[in-house]
Amino acid sequence: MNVFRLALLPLVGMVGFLVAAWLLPEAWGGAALFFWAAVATRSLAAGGEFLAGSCFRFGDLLRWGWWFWAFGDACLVLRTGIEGPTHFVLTTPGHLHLSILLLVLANLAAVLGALFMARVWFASGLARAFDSWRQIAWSAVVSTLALLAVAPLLARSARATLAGDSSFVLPLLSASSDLASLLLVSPMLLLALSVRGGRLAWSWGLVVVSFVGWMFVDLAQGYGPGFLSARIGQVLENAFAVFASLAIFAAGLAQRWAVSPAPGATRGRD
Amino acid sequence: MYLRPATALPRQLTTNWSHHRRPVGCGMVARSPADDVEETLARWLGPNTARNAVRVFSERSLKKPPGALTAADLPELLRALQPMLRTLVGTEQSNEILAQLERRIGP
Repeated sequence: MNVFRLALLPLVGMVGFLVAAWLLPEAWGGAALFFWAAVATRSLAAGGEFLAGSCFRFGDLLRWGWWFWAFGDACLVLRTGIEGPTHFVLTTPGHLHLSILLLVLANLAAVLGALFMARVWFASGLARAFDSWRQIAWSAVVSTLALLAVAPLLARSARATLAGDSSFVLPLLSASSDLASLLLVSPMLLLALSVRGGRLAWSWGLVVVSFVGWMFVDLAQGYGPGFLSARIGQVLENAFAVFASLAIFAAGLAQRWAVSPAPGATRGRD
Repeated sequence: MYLRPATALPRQLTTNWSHHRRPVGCGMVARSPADDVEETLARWLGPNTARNAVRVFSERSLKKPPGALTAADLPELLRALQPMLRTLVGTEQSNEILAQLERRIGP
């Protein structure tokens, strides 16, 4: 497997999406493009995560981390599918409840998956070998960026919910889940830095890159309305989501490649 | 014990691995079993973490610097490394790596 080409996939996918959104006429380059891009890339993400988790045994932390993420992404694919490009089913109570349930499950699974993945850093014992001041510094940087990215969305939905607008409960739940997941990125980043130069660096690096993509989605949602037109804001938000989904798909494949037997590993005594 | 001429090694190689090599006369350096463990682990963990892991676990479990390890110390070192490897690459792959190392360097 050419893992370097695999690592370029998120960037290529995002550029392809932007070109399609730019060139296609409104009927194809709007809601329909966003819908199909979300279904395709989220399906790939769920598949990649499932394959990555399948490399491990039931007792391994990484199996549960990858599989919780796969379950979360599968819920989101299903939700996007039943809502359709124009979210028309949200007018039907049954579909609306199913959509809410899927979103809650997806957010729960995303946070649980991130917890398992972050736990790998501490359970491996690498945390003890890493300079504690550097760990604190990286964690502070990541937490600040996560708060900056999610704060506007979180504040807006919390204010509206407290004012009695129940339609903001789900955005509040999503923003809280995003914040929780982003705060858990620092152990994954430290792990990616620790194993640089080795096979595992690709999968952990791509996991972190995927979270950076989601951070940009939150930035576009939170700050976009103040600076960008609605159309550009939507295109950017979806482009970053495509990037993040393809990055986690690539991370899953890189994880499979990393834990497969290395060429030359079976050679005998030198 | 594997021998190779010290003078034939480029500077950067001797610098990176110097804490594991002991001069044994005739211009040769000894290659400790720790070097093989480190080299194998580096494929997954990268050179820095592989070197640190071998150093930390050999000092903690065997109370010896990596350069002083012999083939007889290997099972103990591998046992100490197992939990870390199991967490990072999974149970099956960690067993495979450790079995390969035992076959490669074992007494």
